[in-house]
Amino acid sequence: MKLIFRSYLASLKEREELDAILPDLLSELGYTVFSRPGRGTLQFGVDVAAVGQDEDGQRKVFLFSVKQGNITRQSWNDGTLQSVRRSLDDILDAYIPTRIPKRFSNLDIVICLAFGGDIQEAVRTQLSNYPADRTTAFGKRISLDEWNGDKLADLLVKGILREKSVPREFQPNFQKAIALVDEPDAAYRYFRRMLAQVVNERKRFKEILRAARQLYIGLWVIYVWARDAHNVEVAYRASELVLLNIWNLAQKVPATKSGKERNQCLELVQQTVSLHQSIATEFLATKVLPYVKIHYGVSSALGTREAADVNLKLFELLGRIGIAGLWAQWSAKKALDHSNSADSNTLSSREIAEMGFALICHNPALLLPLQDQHAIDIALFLLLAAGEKEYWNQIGAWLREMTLRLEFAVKIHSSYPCVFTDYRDLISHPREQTDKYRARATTGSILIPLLSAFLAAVGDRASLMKLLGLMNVELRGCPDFS
Amino acid sequence: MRNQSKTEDRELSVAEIVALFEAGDLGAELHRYHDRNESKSIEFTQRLVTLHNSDKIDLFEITKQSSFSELKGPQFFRVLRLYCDIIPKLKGLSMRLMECCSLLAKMAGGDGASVNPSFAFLEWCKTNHSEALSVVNEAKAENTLAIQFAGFALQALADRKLALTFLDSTNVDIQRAGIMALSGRITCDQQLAREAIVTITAIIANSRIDDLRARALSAVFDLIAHNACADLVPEAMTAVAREPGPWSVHSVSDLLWQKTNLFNLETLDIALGIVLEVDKKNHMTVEALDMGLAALIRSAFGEKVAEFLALLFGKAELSFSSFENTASEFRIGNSDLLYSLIGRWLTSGNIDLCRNVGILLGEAQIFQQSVATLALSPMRQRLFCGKVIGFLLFKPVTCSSLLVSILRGCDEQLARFTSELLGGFILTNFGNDVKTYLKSIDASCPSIPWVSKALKINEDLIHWINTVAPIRELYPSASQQNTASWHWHESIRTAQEEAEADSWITHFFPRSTVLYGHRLIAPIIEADGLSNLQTVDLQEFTIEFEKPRLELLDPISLYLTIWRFQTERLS
Repeated sequence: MKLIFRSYLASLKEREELDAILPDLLSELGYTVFSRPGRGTLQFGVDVAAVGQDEDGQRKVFLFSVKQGNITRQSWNDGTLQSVRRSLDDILDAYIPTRIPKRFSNLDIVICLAFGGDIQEAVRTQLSNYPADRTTAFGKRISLDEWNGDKLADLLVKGILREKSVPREFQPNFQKAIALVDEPDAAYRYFRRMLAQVVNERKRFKEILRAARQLYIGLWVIYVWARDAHNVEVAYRASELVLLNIWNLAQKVPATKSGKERNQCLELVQQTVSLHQSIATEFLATKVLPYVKIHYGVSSALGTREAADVNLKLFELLGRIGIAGLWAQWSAKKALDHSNSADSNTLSSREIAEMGFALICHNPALLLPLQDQHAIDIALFLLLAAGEKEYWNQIGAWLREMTLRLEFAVKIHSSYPCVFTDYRDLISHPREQTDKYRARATTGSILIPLLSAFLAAVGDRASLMKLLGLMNVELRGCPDFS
Repeated sequence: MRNQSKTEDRELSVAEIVALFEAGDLGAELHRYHDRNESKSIEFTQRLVTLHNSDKIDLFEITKQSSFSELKGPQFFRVLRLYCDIIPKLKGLSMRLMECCSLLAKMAGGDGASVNPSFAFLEWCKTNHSEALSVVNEAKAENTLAIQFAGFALQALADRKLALTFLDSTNVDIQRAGIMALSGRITCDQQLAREAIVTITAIIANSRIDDLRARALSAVFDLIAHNACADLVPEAMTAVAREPGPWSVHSVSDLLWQKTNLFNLETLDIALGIVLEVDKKNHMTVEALDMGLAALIRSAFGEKVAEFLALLFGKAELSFSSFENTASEFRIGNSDLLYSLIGRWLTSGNIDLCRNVGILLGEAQIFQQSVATLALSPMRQRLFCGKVIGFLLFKPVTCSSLLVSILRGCDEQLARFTSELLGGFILTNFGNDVKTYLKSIDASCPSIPWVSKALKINEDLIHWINTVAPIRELYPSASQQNTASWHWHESIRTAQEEAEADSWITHFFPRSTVLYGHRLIAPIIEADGLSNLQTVDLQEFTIEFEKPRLELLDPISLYLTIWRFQTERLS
């Protein structure tokens, strides 16, 4: 397990990625975190600050300066604000004199350089030669410590995944999920098993919080491994699952707990949402967005020779675009409420909606789903797009074409939306070109009412009448909410 | 079987044959001694003829014996062949022979060999003129058995005048015998021939019996053909055109095939008017008509055939699937005629005709014509363009060739539209052969600028598609790929089973076994009911076809586009 975490830490791309897990790691290790990473605020070289017991048994203040990857000669002092030397100077010159809470003012200070990789030998010399007078000031003993990838991995194993806090089967399932990231179905299966073991029977607050942290860290690890394998599918699906489960865990926090403790859980939910958004952005921005305006571009990149796969995957993708857009809307609103700037690393809801329409325009399989259940994905995208009135024309055109194709497909008994969920049924649909089969394949459709509702909303009476005509004859088994 | 072989190997003595006859067992034994080997068979039949002609045995009587009536299947047909070989050499009365022949024909049932005894009788009559005459006289006296064989007797006598007198009878069967006697390759006195033709034509005109009219028509054409009386064809055709029944329709179809050179534009119009009544259930007639129409195309009547088929396919639920010879003649014949037919049919607004164009044309039919030769208005040229795609998309090279023919002679607006369809739809769906064809078009062809534009549209599309990196996140899972693969194999297997069900090989080799794909070993059922293992070396056979790209990327778009073009109408 340590190797997995070691590799995970070394693969972290952004400084913020290590920031994201460090506070939880420290909390699990028994430290009290009193300063977390913030965006747009002056931090004077300190990313995370905590109080805890050092290896010598003394209670000390730990000031973490988080750096990406390896510490090299360049990152030691390249003249930028992010250089190690500059951060150390800032901590000593500005943070320690002004930012340490009074209640900890009598404690010794440990400045920790936290990074996922290693320190180059040449830099180590410069670090050890860091002026001695700079490490004793204000009557306190100030020491320098190195929390490299190896140490962090060790702490992750000991802290987050302490033997007593996780079930025995946790590690093998997690390891298998990691090993199979390029086979998303199998990896997801193991991840789900692992998750089920972690969340099982958690009732006490500490257990709940620990389980949530374990899931969060586990998700991070699998994301980074998946990203390295250039296939974030399992990470995307796992992030949905983790988000739902952490939300569920947060609901279990006993009402007797203080607001601060409840906030700890909600903060974790927020972090998981951010992570889910990061994964979605990684997927959409790098794998989909560059190609949405190429005619049949995305349709041709799905590695299949089954028309059903193209349809199923495109609608699944549209659903993800819809969700990503809705999260982006939510995040933007939240940032506005808190007068913060929105995360520049994620796509805006407008960019995402535009992406969706471009995808529909250039991949006409999206003009009619094969699986009725994809009404959910359509609804998600409609929820996103309908929020902006400027998209209503595009929505209307899309639904009009969908109605036309539905009518055509139903009448000629070819590739019309069916209620089947089994893949075998879907790829051989329609198995028969009979009215009886069609009735079986469309009974209880949720797509038809959804389509009716949105056609009514955009005021497309002609298409609505066409749809009602179908429901009166060919699709008699479909629910009628008109 | 061993006992049988012993008996067959040993020659029957004269005494033994006579003894078997007297015991009533000769009929049952005859099949063992015929066709064993040629010399022994000839010797045996000669011995039977001698014994019959010397009244030692009675071969006519044998057919009435119960042991003879028990002969079944291959045994009976072996004996039938024996009888047909020896009848012309037998002595006896015509009435007895007719009874014998009638019995043999009855036992042969619906088999084609049932007519053989009658032809043996005809041969017999040729050497027994007085007996043949007595048959004719008996027939005139309305003896039923004699009427049945009178036609053969008259043919043997080759007396046309006598045959002509049969036509005066009011008895239809006697008339039938007379007509039969006047059919075939008969050359006779010109005046007599004309008289016969006029008389038979009158029967055609006045009779309501369809099969009689059909036989009469056939006889008339035989007489016309062999006696240079082509000027009498119009009367005959006009006569048969009055309420033609299925037999008449069949007869006319047959004449279009067999006597094509006797028709001119006038008589052809009448004939085609008659065969327009063909019933699709009468497969033999449809087949004869197919041969007839193919012959007409070869005789430069292609334009007439095209007009006729346009009417026929519109009303009789028939298609080029039933007229393969005609279709083939159109394909290999005059290319201008074919192009004109395609143009007219596709812009006719008749969906059956449009579908038939799809059936008619081959996979890679190249046209050098220009749409300008069709004299269509710009609106109709646009309609033509849509129908070409609607009905010929799955023959992409042929389809592209027709689109190129439009590009050779249309205005700029339609050329732009056609070029975009060629590049954006046809080439998106089909690559290999279509591209090869388009690139092979001569640089001097007026279509070249538009063809180049279409190729560029497609090149750009393919270029951009190729820049897209695989999205592995959206790949089907391993289990889905396995399921899809299984589904694919199942489809192939079902198609193979369907093809095997239609294969003539499986009809001949129902229990065949393929040995490692190299050889087929199959039991062949012989005439004696025994099976014999035969081996047949197999050859490799592969079929390749290109699936339209949209079949994968967006099948509904593909079929919707086709449907839109198929159902498009002139506003």
